[in-house]
Amino acid sequence: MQELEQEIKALIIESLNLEDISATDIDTDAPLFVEGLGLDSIDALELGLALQKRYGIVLGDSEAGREHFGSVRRLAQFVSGARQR
Amino acid sequence: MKLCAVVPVYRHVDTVAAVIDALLSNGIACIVVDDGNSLEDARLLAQVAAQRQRVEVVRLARNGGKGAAMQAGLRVAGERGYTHALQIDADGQHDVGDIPRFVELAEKYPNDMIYGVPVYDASVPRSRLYGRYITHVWVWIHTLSLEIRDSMCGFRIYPLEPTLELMQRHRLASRMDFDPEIMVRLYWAGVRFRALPTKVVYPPGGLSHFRLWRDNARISWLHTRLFFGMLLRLPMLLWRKTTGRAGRGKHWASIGENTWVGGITLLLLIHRWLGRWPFRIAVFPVVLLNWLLRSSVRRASLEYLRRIESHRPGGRRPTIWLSLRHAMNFAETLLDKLLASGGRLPVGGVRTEGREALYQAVATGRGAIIVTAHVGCLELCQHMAEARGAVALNILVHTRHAEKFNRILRRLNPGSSARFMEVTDFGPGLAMRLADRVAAGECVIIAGDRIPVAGAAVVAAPFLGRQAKFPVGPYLLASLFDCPIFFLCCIHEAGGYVIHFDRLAERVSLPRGNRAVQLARYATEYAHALEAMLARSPLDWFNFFDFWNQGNDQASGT
Repeated sequence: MQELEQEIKALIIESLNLEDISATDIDTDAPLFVEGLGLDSIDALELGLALQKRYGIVLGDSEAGREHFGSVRRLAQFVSGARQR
Repeated sequence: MKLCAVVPVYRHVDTVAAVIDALLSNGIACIVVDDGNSLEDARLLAQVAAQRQRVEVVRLARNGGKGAAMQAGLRVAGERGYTHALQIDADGQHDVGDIPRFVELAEKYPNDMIYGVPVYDASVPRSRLYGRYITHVWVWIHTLSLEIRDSMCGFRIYPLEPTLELMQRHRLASRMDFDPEIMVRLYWAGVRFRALPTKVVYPPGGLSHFRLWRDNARISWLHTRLFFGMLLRLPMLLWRKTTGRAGRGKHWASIGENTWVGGITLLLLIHRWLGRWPFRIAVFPVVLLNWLLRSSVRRASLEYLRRIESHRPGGRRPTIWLSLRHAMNFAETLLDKLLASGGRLPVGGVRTEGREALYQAVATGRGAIIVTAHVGCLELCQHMAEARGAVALNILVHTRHAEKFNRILRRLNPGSSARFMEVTDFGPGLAMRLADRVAAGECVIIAGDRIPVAGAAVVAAPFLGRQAKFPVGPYLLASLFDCPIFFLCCIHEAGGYVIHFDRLAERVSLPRGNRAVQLARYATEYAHALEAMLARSPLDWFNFFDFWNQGNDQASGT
């Protein structure tokens, strides 16, 4: 799981062009949006697309889908859960 | 057929017994409505009933008028399981000798309304005759037909099912005006009418409840209401006139639930069978009525016209007449939208401007975002693109606004290859689906002038001299998919249409920290392109709501 979390952090930095940030700067439990990393809804879409491309998972548009974006940890849990299915 | 009689009685207690006996001798049970008579009269009436079999008295505590009494009686008849009700006056003015003829006709045509056409003798007062004639003319106007020759004679047989259905849906007139109103409404509901001439006498010393001024005022008001009712039903009435078809019951009732779709379909039929001018004539009252009754539409139109006309060179004064033409242009374009979806091109022809750039982009397999507006006849573009087959379309619609219209489009053109995608919000799921399409070289069409129903992703940009809110969706998608974005619009010009393409951007980039500014820049470019097209054809703007306050007050349109 930790490996996946690192992978996702790298993906966030890469897909969102967060040049001045490294993977170690991202707190696994900190909120990704608004507070924490301060990403916005456009970033959410881009990140969503990148995740779907990389892991072949399908995200819904519903609120439940958004909850997975709460933190890197939750995102990793969601991705691993979706991949096993 | 299960027939009963409904006889409203107010102060005619001495004459009603003879009428009841005549009905009973024809084997017809009676429901006598005691319309709030004095206690003395009520007692006499109850006595008349008690002395006979098959006579029921329905007592109304207060005098409500002939219409109210008839409706009470008809309801009871329905509850008792009767299918037809014979109406006859209690004062003996109708010829009870004609009852068998009425019954015979009703048995022959059980779905129809059987009504008496009075044949008068010398006893009729002149003033009553003139009044009747005026009502006849009105009824002919309300029904656009001469089928109802007399609507005031209270000697008739109702088919109960459609009658009770009407009573449930409408509050019908309660006094003398009930007789004509129920006739007109039954006609509107698709019921057919069978006339039967019958002798009517005004009994000497007879007591009439017709009060010249008050009742004439009531009837004038009734005709005013029915006249507007007729305008609303104009397409249906014309359709019935041209086809001679009057499907009763289910058919029209189902259209009643769905007036909008039904009305449009009928207008389409008028156009098909009669041509464009009859269509215009038929649609004008509908447009006028909407324009008059919907002040928000009127205000929005005038506000827009004021802005566009002061924006463009040689602008006119935004008069009421111009606003009406604006609304009329909307109705007529609606027709073209439907025709285009059915694969028929407008008479004046279609020119295109700047589409090569789009086709080039599509040819390289990059796909594109096409941002449009609720202007002119967009469906024409869709049809032409499909006819050409070079571009695959994915059309995003805000369901809440467009569902009805799309339903018609799909019915007209079931083989359409365009995919309609319903959008209430931009989420990763939708983005993913669209990303696949664009990656496959397809186009995504999205309106740039309606902000999403949910999720307030909007940006402000100047439009016709004032800041307005625009959705960011189109620019966002173009940036996500890294594809070009085009502006597309189809306006009236030179008797036909022009389909106009503009490349807004080859690539949309939204660098972090500068996003709001960049989005505003793209929205401004879109607004400029839109202004330029509207300056060429001002009446093609079809956002009939307070556009500059969009988002503060969600409004609807097509």
